[in-house]
Amino acid sequence: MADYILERNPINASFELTVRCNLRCKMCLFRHDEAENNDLKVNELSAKQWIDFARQAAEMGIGGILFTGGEPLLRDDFPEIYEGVYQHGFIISLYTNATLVTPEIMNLFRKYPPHKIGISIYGATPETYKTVCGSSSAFQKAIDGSRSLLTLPSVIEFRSTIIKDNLHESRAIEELVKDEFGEKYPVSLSRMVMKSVRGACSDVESCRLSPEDNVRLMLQKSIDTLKNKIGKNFDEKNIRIHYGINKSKTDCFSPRLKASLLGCGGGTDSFAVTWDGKLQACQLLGAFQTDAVKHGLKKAWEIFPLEIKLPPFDSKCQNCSLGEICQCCFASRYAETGSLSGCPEYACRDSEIIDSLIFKESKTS
Amino acid sequence: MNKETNQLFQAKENYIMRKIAGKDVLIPIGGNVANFNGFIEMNPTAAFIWNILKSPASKYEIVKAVSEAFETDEGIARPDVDEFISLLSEHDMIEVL
Repeated sequence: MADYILERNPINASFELTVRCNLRCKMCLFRHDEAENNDLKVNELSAKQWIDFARQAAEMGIGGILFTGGEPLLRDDFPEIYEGVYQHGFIISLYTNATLVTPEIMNLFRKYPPHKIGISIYGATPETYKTVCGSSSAFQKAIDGSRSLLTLPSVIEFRSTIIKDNLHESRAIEELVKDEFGEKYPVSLSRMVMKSVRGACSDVESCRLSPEDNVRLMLQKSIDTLKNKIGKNFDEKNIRIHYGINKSKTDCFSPRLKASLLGCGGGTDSFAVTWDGKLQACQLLGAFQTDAVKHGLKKAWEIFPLEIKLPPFDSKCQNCSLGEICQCCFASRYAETGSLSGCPEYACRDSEIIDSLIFKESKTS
Repeated sequence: MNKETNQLFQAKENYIMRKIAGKDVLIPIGGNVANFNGFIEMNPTAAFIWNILKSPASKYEIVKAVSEAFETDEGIARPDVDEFISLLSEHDMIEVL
């Protein structure tokens, strides 16, 4: 067991090139106040530093690098960083809002296509883009940018976050993607919108869905699929909600125990490097950091577990029976309550709603 | 034997071989990223051959190098080399010079 615990192979890393963005999305976890942009820019890692991190990451045996932000394409030196990192040989992913896809960027991507591109899309109309992202013109830019990116051999996924301001277009966003780009492109939705982290300024609480609407949205997709398959005789009352826990007998013999630092892959097989060079378990959890600029990436990864000090959970969580369906992790606890042991009421309510919907026989079978 | 010595093979440039979590893998880059949605894991023999193919090499040279490196008869190494070269050709990963 001791050997297993010590086996920490970093497989994937996120490079958060910047937390600046050309959009001002209400629900953004990382966006800072615009007044901070100059200070942020000055303290961002240089292209040379990111490329050196990529060199070190390759030596560490890392397979996948995700370029994320903020909006990574906002950086003037993005082409230099991208090409320099790419040359070291990784499975490259990119998260972008697709509004800054210039001919120069397309030339770069045609030469070095990302393996996967996640395109954020937050509305089906310019009006909704204005409300959610602060820019109506961003809508057409995102459509045009997406169309260009779709000419690449990359795997493309559209990603959306639904808040109060675009809830009315949640289906229209999927329709838009289908009509503009074809049926084969899925739109994945954020499961739960957490409060902003690491000094970001978004007032997420005022714009995110109520837990009830959020769960309804989560179920909407599977209900829509059933409706399409069954047709006019479909009655929503006949739906039974099961929670996806496989309890087949053969599972008893499968190894289920896995050692980790935080209950997930963060800090065990993946990490994020922030815009200013801090190594974290994931982009969300800023409570534990090591300085990758000071120590180098490899050393920062090696000493990272020493930083982790986890308090016992809130007593409500300790005695809760909904642990199997609870969406909480240390990152969400910290983002929501400011404490690693805190009980995030939003996630708590989410679990209670799901529990009330679950077909009870499925829980005891 | 003539064909085996005259025909040269070389790995295409749009792959990078490196170690991921201690395993040799090929990462597709450039226009062919869509052909492999991920990386290609290589066993030690495959990784050894791929390294040879960074420069033009005949099948004869590859068989000879493999048999020496892995201390096996050329007769045993040849079918494995044939199979691997065919696989690389099939997936357009090498050039025939």
